[in-house]
Amino acid sequence: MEVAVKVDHVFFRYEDNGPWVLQDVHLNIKKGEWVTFMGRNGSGKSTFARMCNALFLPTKGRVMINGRPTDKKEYLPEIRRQVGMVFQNPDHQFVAPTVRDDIAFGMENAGLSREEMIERINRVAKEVQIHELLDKEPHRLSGGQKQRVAIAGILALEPKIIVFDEATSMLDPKGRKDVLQLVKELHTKGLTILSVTHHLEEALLSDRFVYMEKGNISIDIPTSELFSSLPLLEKKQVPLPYRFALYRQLSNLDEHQMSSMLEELMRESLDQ
Amino acid sequence: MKIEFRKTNHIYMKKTPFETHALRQVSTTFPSGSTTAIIGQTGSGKSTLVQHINGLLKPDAGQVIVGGEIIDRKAKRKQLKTLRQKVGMVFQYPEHQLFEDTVEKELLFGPLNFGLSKKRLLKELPDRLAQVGLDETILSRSPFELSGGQMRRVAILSVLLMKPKVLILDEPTAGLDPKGQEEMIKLFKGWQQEEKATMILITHEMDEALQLAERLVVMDKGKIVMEGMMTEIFAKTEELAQFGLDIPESVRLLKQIEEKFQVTFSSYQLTPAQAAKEWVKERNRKGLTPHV
Ligand SMILES: Nc1ncnc2c1ncn2[C@@H]1O[C@H](COP(=O)(O)OP(=O)(O)OP(=O)(O)O)[C@@H](O)[C@H]1O
Ligand SMILES: Nc1ncnc2c1ncn2[C@@H]1O[C@H](COP(=O)(O)OP(=O)(O)OP(=O)(O)O)[C@@H](O)[C@H]1O
Ligand SMILES: [Mg+2]
Ligand SMILES: [Mg+2]
Repeated sequence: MEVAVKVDHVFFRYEDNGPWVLQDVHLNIKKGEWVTFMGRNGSGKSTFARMCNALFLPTKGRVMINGRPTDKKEYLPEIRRQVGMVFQNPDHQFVAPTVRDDIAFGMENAGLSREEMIERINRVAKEVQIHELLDKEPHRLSGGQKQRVAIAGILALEPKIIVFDEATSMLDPKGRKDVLQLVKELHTKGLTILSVTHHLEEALLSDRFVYMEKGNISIDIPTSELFSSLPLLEKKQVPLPYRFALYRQLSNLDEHQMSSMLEELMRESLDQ
Repeated sequence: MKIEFRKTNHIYMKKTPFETHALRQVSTTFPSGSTTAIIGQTGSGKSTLVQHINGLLKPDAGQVIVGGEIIDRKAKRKQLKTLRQKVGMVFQYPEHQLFEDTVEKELLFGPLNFGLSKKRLLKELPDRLAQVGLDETILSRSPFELSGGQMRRVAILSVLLMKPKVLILDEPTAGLDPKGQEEMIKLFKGWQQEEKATMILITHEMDEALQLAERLVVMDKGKIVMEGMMTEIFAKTEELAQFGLDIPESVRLLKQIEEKFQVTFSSYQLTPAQAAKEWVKERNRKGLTPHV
């Protein structure tokens, strides 16, 4: 098994003597795995995400990307090239005056040829449907348009590992579906995906579900066990989306045949 | 407070290569004390529309009338400023509305400006913070060093503390955890009923629209293309699909179940518990296990 992201008993705090924001986070993410991260606001998801491309270094413990520790300066360029990160707030990501230049900026840094850059811009513009936005200013777009552009900018860099930090939170339902479809395709191509979200449905598409609580991982299961683990989420007072709640109601009535039919229906509608 | 749009146009960056016609001849009325949800695809003009109500943007043509105050192309700064005191707005990205260096200053800024007593406000704060799921330890922190969801909660509270006559919520639960979403919807609902304020909600979550609003406005390419009572509009599945929109998750699921398993629900607004019971009852009545 090839490990893409190795997180080895990581502790983190923003200030000396400040509270621990990550406490003994420990997990291995396999190459090609798609992991969904959920957890309450402030539980440490974005902080953790930033550990994966060396934006933050652990206060204690170690993070390794494809075997390279993030705290060794000589590996930094390689790690940044391998791990792409779509931020929770896309404004944090924009650097250039037009969308086209913004997408080009990262590629220029990676030393790509002009032809290659143009080709990739056209490709990602088509993939996330931002063709008509290419000559606009990134900061003057609508909320959802910004998120699409932010995703395009990362895709153009063709990273091996992508971290999506609530990257679809402002997209309309169709836009969200399109992006998830795109992520599915990346996953099929063998990319490693870490996705932070508040939408439990999205977990069904992925391989593994991780729940964070106060800087620690409290649930870490394959998504095949998600349905049987719903009581665990209920115990943690996580309100379930309608379809999951209906599933639980049926199980509570001991209607297991019906609840499995519903599960099947939910899985089918994911493929549409 | 009643809000009216009369043939309102908005063009961003007029006469530059970046020109964008974001509102096209929009006419509509938000009755005083009403609750309306605005839905529409990315870039359809939702945020642009509501930013006319609190004076952040001026129409290029046409008018916006907010509680008798007429805003047009020539509106003066002072006029726009008075709007900002009556109309509270939770921005799509909370970062865009936060500016103080501590959460405490952030929360007190508006109310102090209105001459409310600081002592009283400080006494009230712990309870109010609890309403949005935060505690007092956050008061001394910088609003910019919070997690996304914590920032959102601060932004929401700072607007509610101003007791606005009109409350505008631009995707207010994006980035909130599920529990936070549930709590905030309850908070908005209770607040609106108590204050009888006019409330306008922009959202991509149709279930949220269903829970919070009685009216629905659908936008597409800078225009209002559908408008009416919530249930009326959500019955028009095909028309909504034309604009790339969908009916609420819960309604869609129940319809899917009806179709696939030949059941009929008594309504599409059932709680999961009610829906489960009806489904089981129907199956027992038919005396067989439903098959595909
Ligand atoms: N720059 C910072 N300085 C100090 N503390 C911070 C900073 N950024 C975040 N924190 C704190 O660290 C904790 C974890 O924050 P983080 O952003 O990782 O949470 P999250 O799980 O991503 O939450 P959300 O769902 O709200 O985005 C929170 O208590 C937050 O207030
Ligand atoms: N400050 C600005 N300068 C120039 N153009 C803008 C600006 N803000 C928005 N636009 C453009 O105006 C149009 C409408 O944007 P608006 O923000 O109102 O959309 P929205 O419906 O709120 O979308 P979303 O759901 O993505 O937030 C878009 O084409 C957008 O690119
Ligand atoms: Mg976060
Ligand atoms: Mg918007």
